[in-house]
Amino acid sequence: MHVPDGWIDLPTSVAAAAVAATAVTIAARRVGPRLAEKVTTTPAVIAAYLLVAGLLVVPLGLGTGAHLIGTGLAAVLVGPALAIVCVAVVVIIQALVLADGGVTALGLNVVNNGVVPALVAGAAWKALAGRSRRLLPAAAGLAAGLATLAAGAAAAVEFAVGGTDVVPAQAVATALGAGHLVVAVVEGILTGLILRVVLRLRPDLVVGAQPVRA
Amino acid sequence: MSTDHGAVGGRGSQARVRGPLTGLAPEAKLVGLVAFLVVVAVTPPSRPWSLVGQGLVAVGVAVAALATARDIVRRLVVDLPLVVLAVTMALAGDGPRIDVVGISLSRAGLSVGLALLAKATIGVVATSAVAAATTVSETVAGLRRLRLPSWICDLVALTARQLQVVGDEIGRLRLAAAVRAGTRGRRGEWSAVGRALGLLFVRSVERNDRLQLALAARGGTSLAGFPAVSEVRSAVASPTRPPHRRRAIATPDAGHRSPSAATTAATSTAIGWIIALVPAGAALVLRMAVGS
Repeated sequence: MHVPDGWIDLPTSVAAAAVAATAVTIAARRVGPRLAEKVTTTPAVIAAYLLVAGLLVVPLGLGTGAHLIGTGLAAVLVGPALAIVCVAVVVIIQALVLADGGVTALGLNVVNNGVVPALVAGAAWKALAGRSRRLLPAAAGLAAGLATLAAGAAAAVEFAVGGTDVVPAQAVATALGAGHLVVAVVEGILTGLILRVVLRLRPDLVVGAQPVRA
Repeated sequence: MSTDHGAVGGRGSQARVRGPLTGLAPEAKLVGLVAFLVVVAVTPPSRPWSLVGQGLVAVGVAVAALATARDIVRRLVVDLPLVVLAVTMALAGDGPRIDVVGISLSRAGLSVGLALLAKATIGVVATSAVAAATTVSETVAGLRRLRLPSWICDLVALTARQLQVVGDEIGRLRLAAAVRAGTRGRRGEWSAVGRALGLLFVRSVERNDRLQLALAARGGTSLAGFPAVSEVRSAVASPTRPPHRRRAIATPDAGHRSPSAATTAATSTAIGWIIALVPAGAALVLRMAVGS
């Protein structure tokens, strides 16, 4: 979920923006040497992929639908550092061009949708991937689901710190948690399905499936 | 959304409708937008009429920016989860309770929830206004002049171009799937989306490889580490204005130009900034003046 304008107070938003800027800079530094000359287009294509992937809606029933968020998938496929850079670009475009997600909440959204889930998915994937090739899609799905839950937890923490104090933080955390549980399951299933296709067509594109990759 | 990126063909080459806000400097529009939204963000829920006034300001700007109502309404649908959160606040809030059509609600929770919904809506309307009056390449040029690291500006510009390409690709994939068999039932729909997205990833990466080869063929491989892509920057810089005019806006007091031209440029820049900051000023006045 995107944090809109006005939900989290300004000090928290500014602090999150500082965290986001630092994390994205570090991530870019780490991506730089690894991609060397591919640096101009690879992140742009991945970011565009994430933006487009979010437009495909799967039916959940009762007229509602869900779509891929993709941070976990990106972390699995291209590594957490590049995923953070790509999601930062995605969030900027969503906020300034598509008017989706708050402008003053830009930093919060980079932290929630990029930094936190990418690091969680990266760590989970590292821990799960080496086991069995057949279980790779399930491992990726689990990593993406955990990443989504972590994103929801980050949003809940932000609300506890910088949200309104009229409402008990527990109530908001419950609402956010319940929402993210559904989203996490959808995200996990979709990520698993996508990884199955990628593994069949181009297994060399999945970082974890090839431990020794230059 | 104005997706015309100048160089991209097809939809991008359509003539652009020029409204009163299209000519303003993009960095002024971005700063004006952030200033406006910051004022809205610090308006307390205890001043509902200030929020209503600020909402009207946002709507006014959106009308002036020729933003279409359909686009704005479609974006507001994204805020539906926020309605759920606002209802949670009204039901679970502290303090004295009031009855609304037979349901006991927290007075404070209700007002805070409504205020947050209003602020989110104002944000969507105001941002839609700026997005409608600014092309992607102008936005990128504005970000660049606001001293955002140039590599991230390059990435935003390149992503905006790739967006259309990748979007067309998914359209072809969907069409191909529909022509072959379509989808049966909900499970079929899920696995179809999974297959389409997996295939789209592979195709995107392969497209990227082709781009890379094309770049190498033109001698563009000698790009030093990540945050330095200066060769590409000149290629993706805003095509809407000739370079010398951009410089004139960026440095209005350029010494080597004739003084009168420099003064004119400086004046028009100053007027542009003042216009761009009017909504924020109006919001500030509304926050201060309109009753609690």
